[in-house]
Amino acid sequence: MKILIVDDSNAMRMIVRRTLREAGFGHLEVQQAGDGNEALESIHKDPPDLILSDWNMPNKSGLDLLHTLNEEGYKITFGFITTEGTAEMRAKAAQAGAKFIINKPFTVETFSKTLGAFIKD
Amino acid sequence: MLQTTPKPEAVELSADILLELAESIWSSLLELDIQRSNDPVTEWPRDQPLLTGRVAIDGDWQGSILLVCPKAIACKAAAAMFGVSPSEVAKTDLSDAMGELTHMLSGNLKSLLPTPCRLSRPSVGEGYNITTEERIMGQVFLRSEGLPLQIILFEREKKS
Repeated sequence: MKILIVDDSNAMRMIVRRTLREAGFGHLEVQQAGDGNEALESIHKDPPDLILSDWNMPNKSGLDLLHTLNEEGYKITFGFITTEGTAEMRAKAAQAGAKFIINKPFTVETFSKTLGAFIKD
Repeated sequence: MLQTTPKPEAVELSADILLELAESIWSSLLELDIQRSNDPVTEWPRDQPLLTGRVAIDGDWQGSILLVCPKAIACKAAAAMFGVSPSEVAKTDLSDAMGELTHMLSGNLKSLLPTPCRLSRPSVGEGYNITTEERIMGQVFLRSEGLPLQIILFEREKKS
């Protein structure tokens, strides 16, 4: 199973990777992208099974990425990891087909509980 | 969980809310100690530069959120985020980490501000620069690893 982490912060990508390991998902293949455009390139070459994306990024936001994937017919499990978890954003995310939103800062337990439902060994 | 009611006319955030948020970030992501400082910072350490992370807020309410700390704190935070020692932190990683911390503070505070509002990407610079067009609507003085830091919410005066 492959996971694509999309975040413009290198520091946050590192933390997400580490938290995945600590949550027991260290055996999974992890790819990374710095924004929605980079993610799209990576997905076209080698589609992952799960995308963990930031919301607010330069060039192409996480929500725009999800919309593009929908338009292109991809059926990849998509979740947001973001600092902004307002009701309005949650509604937009759900409407676009996102399966979950994990708020920053997060804990290992949040990763285990939320991602456990979507990650198959 | 942060609990408060946004008031479009007068956005004021208590120091307790800012402290709670900082504690949450510091403990869950950095594993560094942080506590409220009994005294406001009147003098920052002179032996190292100050770094300021800023996120601007635009929309029905306009302002910005600042995180100010000595470089050593930012360095320890970046080291914790990247899993390296503070001496191994590159300048770009320092800026990235400081920006992400400011962005996390801002994103979590956004739900307490009048809507609609948008957050800018974080910017990070050296020094402690506040313009006269900004009014402090909330602030907290903290200490982490023995050094001071400050979180401030500013409201930008609307030009008539």
